[in-house]
Amino acid sequence: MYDRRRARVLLAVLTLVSLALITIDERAGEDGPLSRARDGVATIFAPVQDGLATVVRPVGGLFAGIRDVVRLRDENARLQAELERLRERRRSLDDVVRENESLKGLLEQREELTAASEEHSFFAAEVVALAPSSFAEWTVTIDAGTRDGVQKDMTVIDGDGLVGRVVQSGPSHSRVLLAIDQNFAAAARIAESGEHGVLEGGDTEPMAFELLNPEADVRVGDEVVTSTYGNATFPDGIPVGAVSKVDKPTPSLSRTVDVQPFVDFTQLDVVLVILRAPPPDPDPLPIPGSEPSARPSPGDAVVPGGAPATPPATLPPTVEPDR
Amino acid sequence: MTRAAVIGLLLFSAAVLQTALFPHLAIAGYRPDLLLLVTAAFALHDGASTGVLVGFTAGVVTDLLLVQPSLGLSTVVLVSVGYAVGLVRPYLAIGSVTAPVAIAFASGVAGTAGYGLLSRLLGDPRFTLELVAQASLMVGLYNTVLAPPAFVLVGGLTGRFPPQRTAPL
Repeated sequence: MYDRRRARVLLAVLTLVSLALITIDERAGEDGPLSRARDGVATIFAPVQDGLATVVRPVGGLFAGIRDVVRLRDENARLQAELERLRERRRSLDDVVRENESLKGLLEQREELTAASEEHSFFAAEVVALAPSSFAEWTVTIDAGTRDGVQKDMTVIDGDGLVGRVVQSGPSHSRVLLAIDQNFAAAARIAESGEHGVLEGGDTEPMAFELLNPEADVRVGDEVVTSTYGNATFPDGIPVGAVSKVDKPTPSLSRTVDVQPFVDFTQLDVVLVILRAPPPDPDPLPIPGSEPSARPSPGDAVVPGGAPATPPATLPPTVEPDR
Repeated sequence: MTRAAVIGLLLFSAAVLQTALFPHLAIAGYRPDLLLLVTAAFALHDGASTGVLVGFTAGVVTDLLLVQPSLGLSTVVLVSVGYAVGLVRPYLAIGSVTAPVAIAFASGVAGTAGYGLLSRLLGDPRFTLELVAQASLMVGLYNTVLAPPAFVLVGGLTGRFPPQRTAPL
């Protein structure tokens, strides 16, 4: 009887503490004390996760092999699709040609872009852990941190293309928000045509690519690459995926097509962090008779005019892109 | 003090396995929830008070290992699971095989569903009812498979480091 009464008291007290934690975490934002606690826990756990990841990687490979045997009947079709996808990716050459042509008359801008690309340096990192929940978020922990030059909002890629963005950086480890996460957004363009838009994750594949021009000529197989249009977080021209489904144009202000990412997010192993801080936000153009508005955060996808692609008011209170 | 340290070490190990090993063993994208299973096991062996305390600690660890959701969401769920399992404990044969298996499945389903529905209630649009139902079932089944070794481990630990009783039950 005593234990039951004690349990009821504990339940009430700890539930209240939990609700207080939710409230504090919601209000404090990314620089609050609870966020620092997350950094501390990541620092404690990461070395152990790193060691275990090295040990269990062969086990994971064995398990993956067993699953592959089960999927053997689909293997042939998958490889055929893979071959087709690789052929499609050759179209990225068209993007380079189109870009060169458009830059012929813009010598100054071309030099700037060339200089910027030469400034890029990379740091190779291994994925050592995933988020502890099956379906809460798409994040991974990598064994590179601030002592390696990795900072928040840096771009992460692998051999196939864009992996995501650093959202939390500790001394030796960082957390990366994957491109397919619901809270991920990036400015992007169709490589062949240069049509711009905003690419968004949805927790599942494919990703959604919202074109700024609803009448754009888009075809299945078109390659989508990142864009710096409107001062985006990501370097220009990183392959993201290929258009997998196109609906007929409708008389609306925007149009969304499906994009199948090149990266296999369930098989991430070694990734590259681009050691280039995202560009600072430009000063907003003064609008006569109005107060200066709040700037979008570096992680927000941007559209012409510098406004966030998704109005902040529509974001659910529990989902903040940069935490 | 020793018991608390051992439980803390067990939760730390469970969290490391959860994040570094189980992602490699995912089936259809879903993995077992070891911290939920450990909470249920402690509640079944030692009662609701221990279940609530272990659930709170496990919940804080889980929340701190996530980046986006609010800190406290998993805590609420695991505290509730610890209490609920402790409540039904007197009506179960703890030494049997069926009780741990049934508790592992029920707590896996309820805990995952509770987390998903609570997130949905707080305005996260990702947690559709279909996704929550699918995840709950998969985690429940996966936890059921892991129940025998987990409950044996926790049972052995609580036998070696029994909880202090300050008053008769």
